Amino acid sequence: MNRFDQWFDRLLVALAALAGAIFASIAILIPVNVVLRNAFGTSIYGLLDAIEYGLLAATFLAAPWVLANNAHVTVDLLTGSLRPGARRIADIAVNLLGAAVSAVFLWYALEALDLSFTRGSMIRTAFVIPEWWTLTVAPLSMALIFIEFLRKLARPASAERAATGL
Amino acid sequence: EEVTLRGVSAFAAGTTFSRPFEAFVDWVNDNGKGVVQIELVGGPEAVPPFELGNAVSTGVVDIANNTTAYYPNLLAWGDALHLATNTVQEQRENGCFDLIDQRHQQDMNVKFLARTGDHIEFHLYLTKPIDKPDLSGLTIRTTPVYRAMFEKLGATLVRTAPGEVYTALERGAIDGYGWPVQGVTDLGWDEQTKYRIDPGFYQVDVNFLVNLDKWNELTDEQRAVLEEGAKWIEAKNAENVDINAKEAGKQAEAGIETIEFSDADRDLWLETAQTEGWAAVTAVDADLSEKLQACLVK
Amino acid sequence: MEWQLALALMLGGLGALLLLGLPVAFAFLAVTLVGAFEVLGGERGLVQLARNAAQSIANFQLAPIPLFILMGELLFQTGVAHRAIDAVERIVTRIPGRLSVVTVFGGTIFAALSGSTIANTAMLGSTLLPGMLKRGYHPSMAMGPIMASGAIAMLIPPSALAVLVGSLAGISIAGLLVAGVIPALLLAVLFVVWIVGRSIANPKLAPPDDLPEMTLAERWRPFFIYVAPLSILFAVVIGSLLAGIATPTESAALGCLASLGVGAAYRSLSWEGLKKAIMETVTLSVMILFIIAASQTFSQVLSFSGATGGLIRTISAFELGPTEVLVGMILLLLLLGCFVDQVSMLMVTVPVFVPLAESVGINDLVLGVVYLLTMEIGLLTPPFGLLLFVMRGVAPPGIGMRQIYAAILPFVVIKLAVLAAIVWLPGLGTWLPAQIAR
Ligand code: NA
Ligand code: NA
Repeated sequence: MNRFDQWFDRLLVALAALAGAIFASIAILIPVNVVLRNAFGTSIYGLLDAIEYGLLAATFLAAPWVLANNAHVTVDLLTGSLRPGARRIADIAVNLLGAAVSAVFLWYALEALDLSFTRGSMIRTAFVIPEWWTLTVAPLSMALIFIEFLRKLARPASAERAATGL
Repeated sequence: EEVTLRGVSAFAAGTTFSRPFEAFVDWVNDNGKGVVQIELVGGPEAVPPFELGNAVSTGVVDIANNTTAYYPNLLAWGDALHLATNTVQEQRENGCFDLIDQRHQQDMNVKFLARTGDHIEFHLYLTKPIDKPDLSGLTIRTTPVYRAMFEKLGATLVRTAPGEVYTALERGAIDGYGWPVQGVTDLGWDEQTKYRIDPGFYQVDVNFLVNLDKWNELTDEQRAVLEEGAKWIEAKNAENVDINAKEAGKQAEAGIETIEFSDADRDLWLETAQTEGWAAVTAVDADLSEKLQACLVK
Repeated sequence: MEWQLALALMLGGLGALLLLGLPVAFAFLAVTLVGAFEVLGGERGLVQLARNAAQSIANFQLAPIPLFILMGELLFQTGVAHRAIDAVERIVTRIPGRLSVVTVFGGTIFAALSGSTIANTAMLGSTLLPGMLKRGYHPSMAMGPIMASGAIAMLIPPSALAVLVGSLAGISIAGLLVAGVIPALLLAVLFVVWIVGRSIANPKLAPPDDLPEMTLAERWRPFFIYVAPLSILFAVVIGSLLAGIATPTESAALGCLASLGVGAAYRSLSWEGLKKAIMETVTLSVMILFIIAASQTFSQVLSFSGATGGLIRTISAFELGPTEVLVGMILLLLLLGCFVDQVSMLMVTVPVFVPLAESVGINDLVLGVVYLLTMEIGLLTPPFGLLLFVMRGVAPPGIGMRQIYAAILPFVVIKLAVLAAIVWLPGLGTWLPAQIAR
């Protein structure tokens, strides 16, 4: 495993850990809010909005790590019964397609980000924040996913999905 | 030459705030044969409501049925529109409509074609009675429309996802919510509501927006059909008075009691609504806020 | 583009990419990108698509998914779930296919805790599947009951989808919440009948295990140590809801904390286990949320193309009697359920179906229950069946999609039979609400 691979894997794990921290925070902050509301007649300002952004961030940030673990669900009806040679070809096609899809999505997600930034759109819910902040995670995610599909293309084997341990 | 516009509504087909747009589309398709037609592509299932403003602004959609509450990212001062106490006809008369149109064009690249929803006021609905405009001790589900006002009156504000409101009311996790007089029985929330506070405050603004590039491409004849249709549907806003009365009747049938304040409390209630509402708009654009207040409030 | 062409291209393209082995979320994205370019007007359509995808995830209504998954993971990683199942095993004896039956009971009870079918399935899957496979249960006897009873969560209150059906279709929500209960219990009973029948016919599917002779005390002691305290979880989740302290989503978060507390009480908490529970939650939740984002944008483009509306209008154009109309609606909903998510199914059909049902005199509660059941079946039918993907997410690596499809098939047939029974005997849906209304 070369330097880039090591560095990249660490980045994916770090982002997944961040997603884990977000989910854990949601699980802790909601009960805190329930106690505040019922016992003190107050509540955490903007919690619902914060949770919505949290779900957005966690999903996109951890998606590349999930891909690296081969844990995105695939339908293996056909591919499961292919011979190794044919299977290898299907693998290449899948990784090429995956790279293409993420590249196109990346391009237009960047354009959405740029348009919103240029326009100066502001989100006005509990928080007033620039809209472009919320549009940064999708392109970041797609860039990493694009690289991950290329890595899979370059590294054959590993056809088996990593155990999720359940 | 006939042109067909692609229309999308922020509200599900057949529901309260979609009906006027559907009637408008039918009117245009009848009266604009050979000139201009509208193909109603769909509702929230086709474009997410909070993205509809962007979609009509960029031209993905040609004409949209939308409310300012769904596009504050593009039009920061949009809250001003539901603070109106006069009718759209009066706003066309006193120049307010043109100002609103011009700022829609400038700020989000859309032509402001029509406004429906006049006379449909917002109300506070509760599961516990109150006898004066004091909401302290009550947990109220809110949206940005009411936030400033309810906060001033001492409520504990929560944002509850629409799908959870029913259960939250049923179990007492929230004590009430703000909503227009029309639409409560559509949502089924009447089953879990005991009181409506009268008077209502503010007015629903549901607007027809046309992508500006598309609008500029249209011929004068085509625009004339749309403008005429707009005035036709706006004239029907007057029917809301009757519809409101019917809706209030349905609520009464569902067991929702009306709570009316004394005169002094009533004035305080309405004044708090206006003062807090305009303060929020002023915080965004003081100059425009002043101009709009002058022509939207009787 | 003509809607028929758009429909054929999008569904065909999706099917081909799925078969090729592209991950489900990316297959949806690929088709949606091409569709958005064609239908939403070129590049600006693709920009809009990118925005819609983000918008669809930033939705509070999705929060119970990671929360209930985390709750299940905590119970699993601390070994609490495992010991509880072992304990239940000791007392539920002498019924063929015992653990599958336990799954159906557990799924039906959990359904009263959670409004989320995804979370219910994930929780059942992560706690019960490993034990069943270890004991030599055939995958179909292990996974089928998990998915089938996981889906019951939307029929038994609390149910966010029932509330949504009620409010969009203008049906009494209280009535509909109650109307789902009898069909749900009927389903559970039929599942048990099927499981027991199958296990008797072919004992290899669910090996009867030879428990050593035990005294009554030996048999019941673990139950009181490992199962009875779990009622605390029920008390926290349901109690907080009933007491009006928490909304359904909030009760899910309270359940997470309570699970943590239970784990601590058994002294089986460790940083390692906690870390594992959280990272498994990330894997499964993100996989599901990513698919939801991709499939929602797919449904949006499909609606925008006019394909969904065209299909509905075509069916509605035939002038039919009430039963034919109802059957036509069911067929259409089942077809849509193969490709789009539950909320989209509802939003595109309600504006046509509700007036149509009214005009031919179909009882609105029956229509509501039909919606709930067809949406539930849609969660389980290929190629796009969310619960099938959830199952794939929690199943061990050796299990393929083909086995999952095969496992759910008999249960889908049972659900179809119950659906037919409701068309035949509407009282199954309308009787209970009528009793309560009196
Ligand atoms: Na449920
Ligand atoms: Na399906």
